[in-house]
Amino acid sequence: MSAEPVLSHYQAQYRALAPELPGRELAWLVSRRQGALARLLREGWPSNRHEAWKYAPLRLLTGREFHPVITPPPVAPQALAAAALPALTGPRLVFVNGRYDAGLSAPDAAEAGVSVQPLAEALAEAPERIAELLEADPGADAEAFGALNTAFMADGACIRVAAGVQARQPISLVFLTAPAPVRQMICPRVLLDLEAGAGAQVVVHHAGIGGTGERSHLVDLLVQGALAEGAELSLLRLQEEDDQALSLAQLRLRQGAASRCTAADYALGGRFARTELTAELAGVDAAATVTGMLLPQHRQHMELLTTMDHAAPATLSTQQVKAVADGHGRGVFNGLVRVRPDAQRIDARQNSANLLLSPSAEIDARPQLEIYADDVRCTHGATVGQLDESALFYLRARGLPLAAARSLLIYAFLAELLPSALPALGERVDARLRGELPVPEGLA
Amino acid sequence: MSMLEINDLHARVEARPILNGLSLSVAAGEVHAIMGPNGSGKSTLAGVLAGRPGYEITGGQAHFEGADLLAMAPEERAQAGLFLGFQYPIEIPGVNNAYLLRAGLNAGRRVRGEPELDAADFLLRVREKMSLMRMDPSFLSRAVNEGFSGGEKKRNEILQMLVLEPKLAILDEIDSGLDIDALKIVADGVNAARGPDRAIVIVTHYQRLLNYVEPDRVHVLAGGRIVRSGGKELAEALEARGYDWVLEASDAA
Ligand SMILES: Nc1ncnc2c1ncn2[C@@H]1O[C@H](COP(=O)(O)OP(=O)(O)OP(=O)(O)O)[C@@H](O)[C@H]1O
Ligand SMILES: [Mg+2]
Repeated sequence: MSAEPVLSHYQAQYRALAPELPGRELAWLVSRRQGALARLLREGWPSNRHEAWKYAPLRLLTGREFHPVITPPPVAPQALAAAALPALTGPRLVFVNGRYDAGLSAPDAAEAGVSVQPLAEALAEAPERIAELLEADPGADAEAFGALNTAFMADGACIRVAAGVQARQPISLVFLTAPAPVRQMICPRVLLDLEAGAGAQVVVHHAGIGGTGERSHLVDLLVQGALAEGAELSLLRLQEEDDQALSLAQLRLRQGAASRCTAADYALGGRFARTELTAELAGVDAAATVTGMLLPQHRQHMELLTTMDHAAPATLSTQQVKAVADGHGRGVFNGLVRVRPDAQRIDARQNSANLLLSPSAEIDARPQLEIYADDVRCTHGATVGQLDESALFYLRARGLPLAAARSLLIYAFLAELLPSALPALGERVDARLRGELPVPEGLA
Repeated sequence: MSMLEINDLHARVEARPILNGLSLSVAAGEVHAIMGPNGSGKSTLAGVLAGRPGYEITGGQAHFEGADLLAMAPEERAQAGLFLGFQYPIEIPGVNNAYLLRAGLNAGRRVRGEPELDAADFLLRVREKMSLMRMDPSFLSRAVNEGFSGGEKKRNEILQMLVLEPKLAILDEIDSGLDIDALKIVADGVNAARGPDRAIVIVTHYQRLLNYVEPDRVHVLAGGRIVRSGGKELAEALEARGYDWVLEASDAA
């Protein structure tokens, strides 16, 4: 398959770009990049024959040439203020088209024991620890888009919290994307390193900020989190990319004993948006709570694939996912629960509730179980329904216009997944449901 | 001219005729009671007037203050001042009771060109009506009808009517499932809403409510038509003798 023209495009791009990539002086990193690229060239892209890519509009990803970003456009602080979620006053790193923007960032707001650094800086300062983090998770770039990220990761963030330290302020990573003259490829890499008993809240926010140029860029995000014993991480990702964008995210969490991870993924934007979330519950008593929200409208295609990998006894996973599909939108949720041999006393819960708002919309939600132990409590349920007509009539009979009544019911359906601590997130979801965001040309 | 004017109305549900030439007119300031056997079409009439989806109008007209009611969307009817008190109020998890009331109220005010009520003024108004309905203010922050008892749901309907101040209220079995005290409270609520500019249509099976809320006119709906109309003594006669004599008389007619 290496004869694919698009693949050789990336080979050429890598050759041209390699001398500028961060960590170019680190032999281990260069060889890791080269290995990832070689794997991609050898194995090629996934196809719809792969179960995990069954529904994906892969031609949007693999049939086009994307260009790694060299120089992002300048972004005014007002544009950041308009796009960013208010009330996130903690340390903040801002990236424009994937490149770190020091002027817009505020890393120094970090507390003692909490380090928030752009990737290049962290590579220069603590290359050994980063090597360790990458080594410990070989699965991250085993497949095509992870490999693409490793080969081309140009920027990103490294967040480290020292043992026993609880970061009080949420740490935010804001990825702004503006259209560019060429079809861009943005490969941010984020490393979260929580030592024993450490605690942190991290908000990853992608926002398209409009402008002229090519809007169908590819974002290929890879987040790797390591939670040592007793660590607690809350990871929230809000994806509000341009509706033409292609947005891929891998969120990979490795959890030690008695660690707690709450991961929430809200997909609002993108032409094709896909999140793969993996929690490896590697230590006894580890727990993961996953929230997923997908709101495909118009021609958007959104996927959430989760893997709850119960590798140790007495681990707990809870997943709640909701999709609301309108227009020609399509939502896919694939939730895999894996219980390894000897991982006894497992509790795995998965629930997916979905709303189909139009006859042309589609939702595929399915749980998948791979259970190799016997003391396992595993519950799962998936429902696909429509808006309750009698509730809709009741609201209209009280004077609410049809559109307002509809968005109110949809919002009510989603409300339990919205964190009360971050009301701005609910407002974004609400605006999206009300169609208050401009519909890009060619999509309505 | 009457506030509500229904003329030879025919309606079907799933190809089955339910209303078969129903005519009725209700003037401002009047209270009308509609009684009739189960399945005779009373809720269908209320639903058709409020715009509930699922009915096919096959003939006749209905005018509300001269406007063609049947051509209006349900929310337009509500905004124009028509209120339906549901026989079975709907539970809407996740939607706040106060939010719904305020959104409905302001939707009507916008249409009438009146300024919207802000949260404080709104609260003042609702609190007053709630005390009239003997409802705890905590109901405001609960989801619409969710987990309400049968009687609480009915009281909530009347509360909504009092807050929205419609011109025409159609109350479908607002008295069913109420205990004796709650019946009195609901009746007080309806009486509080009576006024020269407002018309009220009460669908009921029981004389009891009509002891508290004295109707100006009483109608018997059977087979999808009004088969007899009279004063409040008609309701008393029905209570004493049942429907058979009315139905026989109308068959003979
Ligand atoms: N959605 C529907 N599908 C089928 N039949 C219906 C539907 N709605 C109403 N009907 C039928 O229409 C007839 C009239 O119903 P309606 O609810 O109007 O009666 P009602 O006079 O209000 O009765 P009750 O006193 O029991 O409340 C009934 O036979 C009922 O079964
Ligand atoms: Mg009825």
